[in-house]
Amino acid sequence: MSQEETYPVKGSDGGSKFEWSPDMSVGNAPLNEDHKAFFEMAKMLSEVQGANDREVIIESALSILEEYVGGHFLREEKAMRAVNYPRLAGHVLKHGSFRARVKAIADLYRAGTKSAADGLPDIVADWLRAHILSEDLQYKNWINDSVVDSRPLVYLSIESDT
Amino acid sequence: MAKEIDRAVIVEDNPQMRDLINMVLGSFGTRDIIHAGNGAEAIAALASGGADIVIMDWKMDVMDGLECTRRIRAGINGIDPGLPIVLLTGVTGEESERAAYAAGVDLFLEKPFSLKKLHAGVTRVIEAKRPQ
Repeated sequence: MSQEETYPVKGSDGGSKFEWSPDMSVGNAPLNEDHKAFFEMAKMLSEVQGANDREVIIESALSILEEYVGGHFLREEKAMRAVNYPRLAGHVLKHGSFRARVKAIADLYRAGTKSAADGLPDIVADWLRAHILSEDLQYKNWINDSVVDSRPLVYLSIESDT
Repeated sequence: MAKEIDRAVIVEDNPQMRDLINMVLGSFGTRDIIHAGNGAEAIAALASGGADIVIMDWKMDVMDGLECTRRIRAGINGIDPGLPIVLLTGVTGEESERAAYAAGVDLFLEKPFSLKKLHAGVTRVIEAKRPQ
């Protein structure tokens, strides 16, 4: 089991596991906002059981999650690359692994295995919390606002496809 | 999107869908996002503050999206009748699309949606509305 998978499921401040907390701050507003949006998405997915239009919501959320992942990871990796962050290669590998996991869940769901998305809120919240605390906080003192691409996330998401 | 969207109104009766659309508009850089649960609430919100874009569901209680669109196009309560309106709906088919455009929507988009799908649609509508 990796270090990322050993963190407790509750928020590090004792709050909901679907909430960002100030101890997760990486010191940059756009990156923190991206992280908060992931938690909001996980929370929304956790509340969708039994909702009207559940399938269309999940189908939309899966696409949006994949796009968010692409855009946010690109924002982080561009900043780390700009400062020659020494742990970049390992960080990128972890991003790639999570991106592949989300894609596999989305593909399975779209192929008809609707239960594939059942664990998604926990997967997103647990992975993100652990990743921020064990990996992202390590680049906090390397990056600064001038090296972070602060455009709205949609533009990074589009760029990540090219 | 050459012109950023400062204020958007989401007209949607499903709270989770509303949150999802809110999240996507946030990723466009929009910070002032108003939620309305039906067309009547949307009319009230638009009369008091206007909007750069309206993301409208179709099937809602009290007042549905097409009726709300017709009232906006009529300039009810001083609302700008040229307001950009994207209909984002689970209703499908050519007949429905024709009815939506006849009511005055600028773009008919079917759910499910994605960040890029909605961004492309909103960009298209905003660009088309821009004065030449």
